[in-house]
Amino acid sequence: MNQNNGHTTLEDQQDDVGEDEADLEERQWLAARGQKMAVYSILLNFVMRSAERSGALTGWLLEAAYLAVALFAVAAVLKMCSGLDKSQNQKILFMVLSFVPLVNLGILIYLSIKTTRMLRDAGWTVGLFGAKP
Amino acid sequence: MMAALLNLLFMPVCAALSGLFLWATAGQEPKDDRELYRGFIWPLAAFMLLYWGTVNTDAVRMYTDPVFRMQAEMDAHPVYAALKLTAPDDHKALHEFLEGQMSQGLALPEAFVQARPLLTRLANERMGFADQKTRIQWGQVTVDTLRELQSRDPELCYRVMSSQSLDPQTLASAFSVGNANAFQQAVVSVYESADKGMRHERTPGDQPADFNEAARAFSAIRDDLAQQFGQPVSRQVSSKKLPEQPSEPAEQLCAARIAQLDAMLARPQGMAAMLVDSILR
Repeated sequence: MNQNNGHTTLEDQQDDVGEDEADLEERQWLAARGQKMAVYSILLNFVMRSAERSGALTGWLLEAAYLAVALFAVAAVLKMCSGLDKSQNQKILFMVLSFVPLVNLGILIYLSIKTTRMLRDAGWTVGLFGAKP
Repeated sequence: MMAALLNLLFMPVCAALSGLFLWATAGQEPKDDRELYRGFIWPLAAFMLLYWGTVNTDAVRMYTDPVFRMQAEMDAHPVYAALKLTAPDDHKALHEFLEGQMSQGLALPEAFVQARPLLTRLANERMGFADQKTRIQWGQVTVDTLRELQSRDPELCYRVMSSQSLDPQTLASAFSVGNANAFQQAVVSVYESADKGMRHERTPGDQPADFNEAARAFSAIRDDLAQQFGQPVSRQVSSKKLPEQPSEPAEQLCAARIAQLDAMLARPQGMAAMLVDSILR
């Protein structure tokens, strides 16, 4: 940060505000992308359950598909956590909880609601399958 | 139950361990999302492999998988192992029987006690292929069993010698531990010897025995029994099939069968084996 005789100039303050706005905007985009992925991962979870019940997927294929969906959900959780400015420890905790049955759906819904609130406050339009500025 | 629980815990446990590992290695140093993701996924894969490998070891499966434990116990039993190795059809019959008994909550030794009539029938059918010493061993176990039952319950002795079905409670308490062990050893011997016999690997100890001479010995024993127990008893115990309801007292019939087998077993090896085979098979 540029300083002049120990005082912050107006120009510096404007630079800081610009950086904060850029950072906020980047976080909003991250959260929006994470939320979209979360919606898809919830849908994929339901598809997986149906496939399991109908017997369309069994054995190793089913396990592999569940793992792929879980990894996708972890990526979604990470993006939403970063967008919501969560701490590193909270991110790790949410990643772990993404692998606990039922709790994972709860986590995705909780983070999605938080993201929706943040994006709406920022003037975004949030729909069923994601948000746009 | 336990296996289902381990399956359910598979992902949460691995994820928790991976999270702990990431938390311990990352410390307070901030990492970007990509690094965090990678730092989580690789330990997760390693813990998943470790978990999967551990729960699938035989030692763990003995505690967690009842079917595996049941099969391991059965495989370790000498009678089951002998049948598995030498007689696939008989092994299948025994396996299905034991599985049924154990699914009702019986332990393997108890299930084997219940399997005794089945094993007796199967071993009697195999005995024709066994060597002489094994046939004599089988005859000795049979006569010892009848003697043991005769001293406690002649009716039960008759039911066993006439191959009648026994209820599970009766079977559970019918035979002594020593007799059960001798019976199982004899079954193993019959199957191993019959297997060799079927492959024409005759043991060198077999002695020649003349069929006509054996028929004469059989008649002589029948006559001795007639003198000792009377003609009707002698006639009944000399026939292969015994009626469910005996026309003579069960005690007499059982005693006559014991005397008959003792007399047969007292003959020279080749003759004794032929006579025992003729009456038990």
